[in-house]
Amino acid sequence: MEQTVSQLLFIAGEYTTCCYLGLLLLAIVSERRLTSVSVTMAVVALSACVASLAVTPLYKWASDEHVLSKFSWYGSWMVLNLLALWLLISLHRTLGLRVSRMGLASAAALVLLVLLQAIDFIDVATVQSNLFAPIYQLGVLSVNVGLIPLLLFYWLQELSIRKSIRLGAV
Amino acid sequence: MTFLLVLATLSMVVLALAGYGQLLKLSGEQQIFQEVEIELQQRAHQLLVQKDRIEASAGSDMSAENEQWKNELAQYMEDYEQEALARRRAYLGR
Repeated sequence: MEQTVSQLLFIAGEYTTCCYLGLLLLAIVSERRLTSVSVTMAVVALSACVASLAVTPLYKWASDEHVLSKFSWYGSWMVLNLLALWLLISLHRTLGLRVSRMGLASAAALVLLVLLQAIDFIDVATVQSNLFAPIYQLGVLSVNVGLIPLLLFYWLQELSIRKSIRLGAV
Repeated sequence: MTFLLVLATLSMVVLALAGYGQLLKLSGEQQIFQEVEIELQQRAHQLLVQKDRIEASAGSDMSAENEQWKNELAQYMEDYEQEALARRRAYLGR
């Protein structure tokens, strides 16, 4: 049972970048202006693309056993996630947009990824118990995969809220 | 060495949490009010510019244009009033 779930997660993980790009296209086509939804999609798709480009060289660096090379793996992921978070904040601030629940959800996913990286790095660098390695591997994958339905759900919610505002119900 | 790296990791976690706090602040109600305020101000500015244009061009169809301007002004005032009511409701906690 666990085997099949993790296998499914790995298979889904290979298509996440395509899914994010598809969501970005959908957002651009349906929103037609800069809203929190399209900005969030752009940032998420950008970070997914950068991640899929960076994974091979980072993996090469991290194959060494030294602490610094381990840190180059975890640290660069954390820096990438922090950059995406910063981009999300600064875009919303400069464009004067209200952060939707979608934006909050993707920011929470980024923070969760940073937390997972930090916990596993601290484990690798100090105790080396390897207790968190499976949690790390499956956690990162499931955050990346689970963000897609979450984003869709909050998008639909946002659309229905907008509709009710337009009808004057709120 | 390891200590420094762990310290850097922890500081990045703190940064991430601080960023999330910033986003939470940007998602609050205050932000919506600011957006509506900016929109209302822009519309008032547009109306003033339109009035100036109508007064400058003493054309033949001045009355029709004037009528349209008056309608837009009425709509603006209505929206302004609605916004004030919404704000009062929000502050009264309804």
